[in-house]
Amino acid sequence: MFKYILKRIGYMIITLFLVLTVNFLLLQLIPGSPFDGEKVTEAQKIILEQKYGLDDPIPVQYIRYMKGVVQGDFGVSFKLQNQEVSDLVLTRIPYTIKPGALALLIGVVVGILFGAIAAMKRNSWADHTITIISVLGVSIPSFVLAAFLQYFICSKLGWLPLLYQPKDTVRGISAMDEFKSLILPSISLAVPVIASLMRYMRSELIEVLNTDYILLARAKGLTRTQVIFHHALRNALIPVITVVGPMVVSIMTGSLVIEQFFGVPGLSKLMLNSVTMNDQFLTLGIAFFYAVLYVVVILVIDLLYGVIDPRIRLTGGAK
Amino acid sequence: MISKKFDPSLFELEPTHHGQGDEIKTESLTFWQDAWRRLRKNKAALISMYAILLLVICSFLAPLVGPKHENGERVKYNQTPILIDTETGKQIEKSRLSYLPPRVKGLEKLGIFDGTSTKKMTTFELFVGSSLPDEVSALNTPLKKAEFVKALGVKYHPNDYEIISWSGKGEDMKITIQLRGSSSTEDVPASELMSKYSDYANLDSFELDQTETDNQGIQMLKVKVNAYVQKGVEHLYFYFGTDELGFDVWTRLWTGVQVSLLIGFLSLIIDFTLGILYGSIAGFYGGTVIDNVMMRITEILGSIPTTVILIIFSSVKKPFIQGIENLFNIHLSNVAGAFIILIVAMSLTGWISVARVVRAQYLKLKDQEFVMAATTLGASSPRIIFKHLFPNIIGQLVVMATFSIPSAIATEAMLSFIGLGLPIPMSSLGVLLSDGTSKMLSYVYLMMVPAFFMVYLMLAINLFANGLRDALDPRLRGE
Amino acid sequence: MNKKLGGIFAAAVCAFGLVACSSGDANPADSNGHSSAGEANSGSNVLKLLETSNIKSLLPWQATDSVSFLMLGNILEGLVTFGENGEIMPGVAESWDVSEDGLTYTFHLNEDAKWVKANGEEYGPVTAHDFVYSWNKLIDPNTGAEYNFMLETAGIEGAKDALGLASNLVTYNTDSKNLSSLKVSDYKDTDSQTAQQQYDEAKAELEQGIASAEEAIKGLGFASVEEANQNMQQLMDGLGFKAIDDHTFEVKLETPTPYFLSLMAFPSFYPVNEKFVNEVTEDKFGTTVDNFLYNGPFLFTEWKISKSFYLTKNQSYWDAENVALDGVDFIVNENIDNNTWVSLYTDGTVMEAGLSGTNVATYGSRPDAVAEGDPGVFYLEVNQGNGAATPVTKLLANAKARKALNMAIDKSFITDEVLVNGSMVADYLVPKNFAYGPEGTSVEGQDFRTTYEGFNTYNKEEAKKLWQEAMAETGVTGPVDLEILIQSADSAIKMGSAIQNDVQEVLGEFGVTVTISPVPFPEKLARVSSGDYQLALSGWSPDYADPMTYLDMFVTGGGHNNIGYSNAKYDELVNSAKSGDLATDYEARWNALVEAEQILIGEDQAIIPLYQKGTVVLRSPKLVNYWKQAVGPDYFYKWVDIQE
Repeated sequence: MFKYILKRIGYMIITLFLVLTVNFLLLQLIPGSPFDGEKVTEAQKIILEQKYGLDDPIPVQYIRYMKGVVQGDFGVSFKLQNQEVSDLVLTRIPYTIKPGALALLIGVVVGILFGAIAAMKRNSWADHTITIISVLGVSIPSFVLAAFLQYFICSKLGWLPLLYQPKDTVRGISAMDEFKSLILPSISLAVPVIASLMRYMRSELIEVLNTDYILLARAKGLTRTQVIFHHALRNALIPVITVVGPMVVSIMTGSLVIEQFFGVPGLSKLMLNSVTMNDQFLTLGIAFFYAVLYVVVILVIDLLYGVIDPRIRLTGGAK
Repeated sequence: MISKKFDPSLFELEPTHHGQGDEIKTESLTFWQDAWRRLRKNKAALISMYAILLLVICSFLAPLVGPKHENGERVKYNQTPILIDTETGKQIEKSRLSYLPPRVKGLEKLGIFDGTSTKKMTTFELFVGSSLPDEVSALNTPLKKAEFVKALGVKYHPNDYEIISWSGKGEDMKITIQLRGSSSTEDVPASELMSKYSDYANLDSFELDQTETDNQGIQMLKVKVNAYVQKGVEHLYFYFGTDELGFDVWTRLWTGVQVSLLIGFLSLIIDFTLGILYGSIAGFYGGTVIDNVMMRITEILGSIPTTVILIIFSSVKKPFIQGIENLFNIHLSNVAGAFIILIVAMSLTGWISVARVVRAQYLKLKDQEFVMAATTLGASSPRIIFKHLFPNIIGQLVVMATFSIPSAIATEAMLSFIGLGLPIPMSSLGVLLSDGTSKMLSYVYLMMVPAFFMVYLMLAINLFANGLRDALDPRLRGE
Repeated sequence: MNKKLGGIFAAAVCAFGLVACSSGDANPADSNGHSSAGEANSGSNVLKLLETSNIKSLLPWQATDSVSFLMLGNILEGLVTFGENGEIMPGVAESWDVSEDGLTYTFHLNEDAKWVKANGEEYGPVTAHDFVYSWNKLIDPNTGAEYNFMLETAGIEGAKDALGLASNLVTYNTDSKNLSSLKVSDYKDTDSQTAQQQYDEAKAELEQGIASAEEAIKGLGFASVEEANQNMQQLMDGLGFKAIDDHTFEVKLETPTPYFLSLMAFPSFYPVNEKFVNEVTEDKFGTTVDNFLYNGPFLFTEWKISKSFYLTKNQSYWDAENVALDGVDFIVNENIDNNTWVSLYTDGTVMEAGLSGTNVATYGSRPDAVAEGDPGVFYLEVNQGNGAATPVTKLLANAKARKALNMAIDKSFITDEVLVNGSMVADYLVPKNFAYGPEGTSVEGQDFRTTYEGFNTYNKEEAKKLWQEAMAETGVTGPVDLEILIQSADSAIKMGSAIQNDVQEVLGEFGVTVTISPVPFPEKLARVSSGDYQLALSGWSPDYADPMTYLDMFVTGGGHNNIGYSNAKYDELVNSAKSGDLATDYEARWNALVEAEQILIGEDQAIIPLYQKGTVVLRSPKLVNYWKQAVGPDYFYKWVDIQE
């Protein structure tokens, strides 16, 4: 198992290296210079490009950038002068992660629980309600939901703050205030996750409950609860786990919008601005963060496979 | 013991008919016929299916009853109607056609779709307005207040009082006000507070609804306004209203429904064709080098943020579109170009989740006994993949496909929201929604109309696919 | 593995593990908070504001954006500053003498003006050398300062030549480098041209660029390019500003510049202490509040990126007794939605809220709403000869076609229904309420717009007529598809739709169709400057309060003339007003500029002006002396007070 993990981390590093390469090359295709501005003259642009080495041939730039990355130096932003990319990204990561992680937690727990309930009480009112909720959940885009929640819960009822408030003891904002202001962004992000996990869980569990080994287990005299917990849930979880990985990414994409609604100072605006303004190193830095997040999630999911389903032999583990 | 004598005729042998022993009495059904039979039994799925069909048909037919230009031509989704004011004989200015709420003949008597909306505004806007002639607005300074009030022909300056309550309608409207700094109240006919320059000078065009005072000490009014009366276009009916450019939302909506459905189906086809092929190959060779390489490729692609891909794609769209044009020897309009870029960019990462699920299913299935049996009997790899394994994952794929249509539509909506989707004045449910959401507080119908149809569409597709799943799953056959 | 790389990994892992991450206080860029911010918060006279962007640069020579200018304008001080009513007031200079010919300014610096660190500790006096250092930085070609043209704008002796030389040297060097690496094999045969032809074309273009750069360099009095390269520093040293002694600063001008003094309040001209920069190293200077030195009315005491800024009153400021505020507290939020901002204002959390979208119509007539003039003008650039000629550019090169387009657009619909923010219809280039006739002339105090209110106003019938004539004159027939290039932003796209709708309504019968292409900002600029466009929505905001900031844009071969416009009469008027015969005769200069605009817009319709920008904000009536500047930092908080 340990060997397998080591091997996978090796793959991960190769993947990250390739991601950076692909992104680097793709970004070269974007027309326009990061130093373009209404009042910048051609000469100034050339001077700035020389200063940041953008006039060198692309292979030279690439090798220089990669060398930097290996040493942990992600370069500086062209637009936000004198700010290091790693500083800019690291400052914002916690704000993107807090609502995202909370949303994932809520989404996975609620989604799997309700999906399982729907499958066990198939065709009951509970099943129908859950189905309708899950259908509605995927039907309403998260920004519409966020707009509604903000309008009714914050503006009309005044139960929760309109805007995300980072903890700031000087200005009298406590951790509790911060948590309160995180509730709505997290729920807005979690609803699509809940909805799709509920559906997957329901359909998988129904499928498993119809298999022969479940019938056999029941025939042996196990109770329904025992069968579900010992036999069915595990098998149903395998495909469900597969979709959690992409969901992390979809939460991240969703946060692009949600962060703007609730004023969460996360990566979204930084990323949109950096890509549209062709701030290459910053874009690469942010893309690298997303890539790390993604491959780590995939690794954890693959490891979870092995834990949940011993039939799936992880290559390397058996050797 | 009583003995009974049996009638020997009861024990006569039936003559044997060779070959008919196992005759099936009902007609033989193929897999798809059987699925269809079971789908028809599912009420919710059937209704949903008709609902989807209805929406598709409507999206083509409904625009035919939309508004027309004065010359009888149909108003397109990106046109403001060109109409003549019968009183003046001149063209109606575009500003009089913008932000008209939904209004439907007949229904308006029931108090819905009657062209009214509740607007938040200041006392100043209601009674004085922003379209003052220059010589009057020049007087709007603290020093010339008395002259200003006189020029407006009102009793008090709207900033000098707060509205306490009101009664009556139209010409009979009476408003109870409290002057600032005074504790007593005063009843004033609305006509004495209303200046002739106001957009609401016609007292029939509005009703007071609510007042609220904020922490800065300023009173805001909520006023129920009939925009058609207020703008003098009472003879017009826009079923779903108009937006700020005077574009008819009805026409835009149905165009948007068509576009969104097209986006959903196209990305479904692309994602699933790619995803199934890729996932099947990777899954079948699971654990080998091929699988590993293939999965790393999906990881790399999946970890590039969609926004990055979209922006890069829209930046290189010129050569890309030219390539397509040369390849198929066609000419693409700008609109079609934007559409193709969007679809391709969305599909670039969309197929990955399909491929991963297909692969996971194959990993689960391929070591099972029936596969071993097929292998032993000499079946080729493609045969095993598509004949033996594939039917087993169809249920799962239908569930995924269900999600892929709504999620493609939702992704498009999200991209519109961050300014990377289809550009206005093009129309899709996403474009309409993101535009409507930004105006939700002032013009709620601009959001409610697309939101309703989006939810309707999603609900219908999802319920239909739910039924389809139950109908298609081979293990539920004969249930 | 490096700490930072590890940080990204850790954060990613932490995201998955659902570990509650602490709010990143370990971050270097985030931990600039000082306890003084906390103490000052208890003070009653604190201005509470919300800022929607982060600071891009605190270096006076590098800053170009409004937030950086706003901060710099309040934490640093130039030679002069603006008073309560916008009049020029002593800043670091307590007085100044102007020579008879208006060409030499001698500034006597206030000996009480001090440099102060963020913690309030005094560092030393502000001297004339600090200005010399900062201005040298601004013009140094190695800085690559976007705003280095300000020195030329101010008319400082030698600046024009130095900037010209620097720019020509860059062209010369780059073109030479490109020429040496040019290969035939880089080109492929196409339908119309062989690879060799393309190569020859590119080569000829580069050679021409080199030749003209060389000529220009020689024109500046250098025998060869090598000599110019070596003597660049000499030219830099010969610039018309110097420190006579610690407290006397002298500036020599090439031409009398009527707006020179007001420019001295512009952030690009602020002083910087060289000794301090060397102490903290140039790379680190201005990256944190501690690595910066202050001489303005406020100290920057808290800089939390995307969270908060805090300005504390500078007790050592020479005029501290006249600074009423104890501090300025900014919430920084790049993601805020306008409705949320308005709610923060109405519930009293912040004292000001900008209005946008439908909120302008809803809240714009409140008694606490303030319409702030903004001299920015937006227009459609019309490509009439930049880049390869196509049937469309041929048509657009006809003034009648451009006028027809201009007259077909209902600009009042854009300002009243699309923007609704107090923007005004512009049928002109030089904005209203911006430039006033110079002192001592017959037009003293008169708005530039008095002579001509506007040109070629909205007229659908005339538009149709002109378009027909233009088609006849150019011989272009058949359908014309016009593409409008715009920056991908909501309001721009809406505006594009309105223009599309109007033009198609009026000129549709002649087969005119309009498409809108929203593209990211850098791409738009790149396409416009390379001439790969037909119409482009652009804007210009002024750098100094003179019509020239607008009118010199479209001279033949000008750096901002992306439309390929050329008119000898116009060139002559602008050039003579700028540095020729008219430069010293203020009245004739004024009239020449009026006429130049009449030719540019009235006769030639070189561009299609759309609107003059306006903004509406909600602002607490308690604030006194709070108003927006036309150029430079938007606000000076020095005079602001809060009255309960």
